[in-house]
Amino acid sequence: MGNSNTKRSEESLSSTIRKKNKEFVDRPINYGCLVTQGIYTAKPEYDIDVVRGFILKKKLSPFYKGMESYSDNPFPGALTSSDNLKNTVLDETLKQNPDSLNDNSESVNNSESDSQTLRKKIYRRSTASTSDARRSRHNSFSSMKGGKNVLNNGNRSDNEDSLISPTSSSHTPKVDAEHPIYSKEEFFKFPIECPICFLYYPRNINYTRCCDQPICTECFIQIKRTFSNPEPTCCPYCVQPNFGVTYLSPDSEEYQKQYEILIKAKEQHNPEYEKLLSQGSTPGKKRRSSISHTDPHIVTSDDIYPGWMLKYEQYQREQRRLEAMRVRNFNAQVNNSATVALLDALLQIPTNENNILNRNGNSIRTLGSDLEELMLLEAIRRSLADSSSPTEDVEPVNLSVIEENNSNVNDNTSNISITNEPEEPTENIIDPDSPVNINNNDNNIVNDTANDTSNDVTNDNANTDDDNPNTITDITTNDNDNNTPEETGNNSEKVIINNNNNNNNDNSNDNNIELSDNTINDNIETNIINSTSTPVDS
Amino acid sequence: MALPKRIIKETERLMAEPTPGISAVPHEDNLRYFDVEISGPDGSAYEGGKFKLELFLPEEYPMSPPKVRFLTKIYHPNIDKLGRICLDILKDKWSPAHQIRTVLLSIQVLLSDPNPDDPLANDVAQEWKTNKEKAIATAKEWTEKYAK
Repeated sequence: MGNSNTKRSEESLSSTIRKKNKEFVDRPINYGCLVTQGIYTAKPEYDIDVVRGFILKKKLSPFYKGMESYSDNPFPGALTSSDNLKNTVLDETLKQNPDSLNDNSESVNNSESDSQTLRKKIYRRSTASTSDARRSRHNSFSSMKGGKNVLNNGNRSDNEDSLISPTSSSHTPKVDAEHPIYSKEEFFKFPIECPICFLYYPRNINYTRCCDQPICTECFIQIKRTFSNPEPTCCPYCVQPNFGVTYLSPDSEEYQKQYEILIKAKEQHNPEYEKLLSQGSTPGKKRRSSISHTDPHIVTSDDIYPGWMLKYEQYQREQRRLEAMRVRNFNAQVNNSATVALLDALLQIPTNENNILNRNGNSIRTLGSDLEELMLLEAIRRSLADSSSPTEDVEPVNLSVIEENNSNVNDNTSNISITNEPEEPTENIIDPDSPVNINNNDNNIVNDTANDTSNDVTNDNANTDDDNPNTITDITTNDNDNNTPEETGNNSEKVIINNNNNNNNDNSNDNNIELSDNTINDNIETNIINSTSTPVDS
Repeated sequence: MALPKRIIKETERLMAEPTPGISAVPHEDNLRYFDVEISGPDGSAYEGGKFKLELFLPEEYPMSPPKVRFLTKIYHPNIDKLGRICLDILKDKWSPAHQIRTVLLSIQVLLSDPNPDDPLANDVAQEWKTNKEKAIATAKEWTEKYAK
């Protein structure tokens, strides 16, 4: 159907396919289906197609709408005529919109087999009124029967077929639909409470591979590795790693054998027994020993989160990138605090800046913008070279940072001599003043009057000078022009102190932002844990 | 957002079959938020005290642990000054098979059996290890002062 209409618009085609998929996943499987029932509202991360594949391969229990209370019969009492009417109305709605199937909270399991044999079976076994209701419901489902063939066509088309895993697709259309062995009433007898969601499910619930405890499929698929705890998932009950479940299909002989035992046990009317039954134990059934998570019958958490490792690696890369950025920023902060501070000050306190410049001479202002560009290029080149040690991811960020700095610099042409600062901090500190600078700059004076930070500034100038011989002359001229070296020293010291404040603020802010980013990624919980690991001062 | 059946059932069961020494009552306007009271276990430094806690069930509960915090000031190596609790099942050892009741029981056990080797309040833990008698005396004092 979908295939033949190639001329149809893509949109209607895909909507048709969606509809077919919808019909497909709404198909009943042992009175259950392939659609989650909305116990968990978080955006699913499991691979639903893989999960469906496992259900179809009878390795996982289908999804059921869990019952709220234990009851031998999920349909207590015969339906009244008004109920009957209601059901008929419901069926009409279902016919038009199968989606409403899941919204209907009234009936525990709306999915009904479309097979005639089943219908006869139910009809024979149920009271007249319920069977009427069933029959009318059945009619609505028989209308979906056509959808099955349609679906088969859909399978052959290439769209969204991943829904059915390749291995299962060959026998999916036949699964369970043909002859469920039990009537609905029988099937929902002796329900088992899932200890995670506290809802009751038919006895074909999954059991943990390790400790043989029940768990419904909807809860099982929620259990996953997390970025904060990337270890293999553990059994929620016995905490064994590599959590996995096993499933006994109602079609199996073993299930039927157990069912017979249950019927007999039931006849004894022992309330204690009932409790055990609701907890998932079967009388006379020996507790089986743990099954390996590599056993082909076992479905593990990792099986239904096939892309998790990739996601985790991506996450780790991102973390490394952030870490590298942090380290860079930290280094820059430590090594460049003074020089960056000066930059900031010049940017942020234009009055001070003007003062300095006036004192230092206006010639800096007159430097051409091409020199500025040259220095920018040099800065980028250096930072690229510098960042070759950490991951490559760092570079774009780094670049953008430099660009940002630079754009600022462009706003204040006078700051040229500082453009070089951020990239080679260690040199600035370690590098003893080059003789040229000592000679040419007023370093001696500055040293006399100013503290370490002012040294940094002068060193920085030195650095700039080394790189750009042009500036040497400029700056030296400046200095020479400036006949009040002591004043300069004082002045720059003052500015630096101001700047230090600014700088520290800025840098620490940056760091804070990053840290908080990181902790958000890390998971708030760990954040709390981490923060709690250090004692809180009162 | 409708309250998950599990939370409703847990609450009902907590009400129907209360655990001795533990009470947890949900707020009327927020059924995920519980006022908790735990009695100091007999034989512990907290005996006779009634400790108030708050418990919140996050959206992901039971796939994520509840958030629990002491509101009553307590001198304990695994509980810090903000009332935060160092308990593995509230963190990485959480399992969806745990419940409000089991969590509160674990906290009660933690009161009986402080673990200064995995401290949250370093100063208290240090005291607990170096001068246990004095630490216990302080704990008793605080219980007397804040938990009664």
